[in-house]
Amino acid sequence: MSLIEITVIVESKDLIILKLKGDIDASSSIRLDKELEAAVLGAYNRILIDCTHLDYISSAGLGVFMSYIHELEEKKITLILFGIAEKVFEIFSILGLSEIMNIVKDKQEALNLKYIGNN
Amino acid sequence: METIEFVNHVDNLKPIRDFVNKVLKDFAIPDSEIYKIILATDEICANLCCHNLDTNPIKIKVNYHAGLVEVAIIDFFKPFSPKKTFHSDLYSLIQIKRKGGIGLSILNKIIDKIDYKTEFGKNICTLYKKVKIKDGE
Repeated sequence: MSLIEITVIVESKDLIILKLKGDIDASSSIRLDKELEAAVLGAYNRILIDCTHLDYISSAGLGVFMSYIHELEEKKITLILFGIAEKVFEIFSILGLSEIMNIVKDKQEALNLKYIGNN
Repeated sequence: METIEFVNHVDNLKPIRDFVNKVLKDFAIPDSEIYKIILATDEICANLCCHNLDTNPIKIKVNYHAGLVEVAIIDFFKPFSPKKTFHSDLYSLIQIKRKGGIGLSILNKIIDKIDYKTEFGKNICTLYKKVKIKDGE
């Protein structure tokens, strides 16, 4: 059984949501990488990452997000994470990623964001 | 002191995290602190798994006493001290689109002290973190 379940929801031609459930570590981060790569290639303006059921993320998972920041900026795609548990958010914060990435409380707040860049 | 042994493989990172979580839950340590200790342990073990293909065992010892959590990760691979490793700059990694390189930087930000020693082919990496237990416990 995979540690991470990723459900892909295409909401419109501009918006895609990746719902994460479980753990992202050194063994499962490749799955996130593949899905995120497909979303970026899909030419959506906004990619939302639903972290409501994300229980754990290690540096391998954080590294996947980081590796796309530059490309997203070049392609003017906005990546927004929402629903992150406090203990998980603290790691984003300690590393300084919360200053660089768009992280909001819930889906509604994420949907209200238009293109604002990624850093 | 609780001890467990795992075969060196990325598939065992989850059981290792579950073990550390189970031991520390008994001491009324706040979840956010347990999360950091689990993450630090995971980063060390993931590093061992990614740099060593042999399925030698990794031993994990977890102890809590008087506000101090101690996690010892014992292996028999080529010594690799996280204390002597270059810690990458976040912005540089983003610029070069590199996926790895922040694990040990995280470690230094969430753990109070790291000890690393090698004795007779055995490497012992010990993580120390001061914690406050939950009120009323």
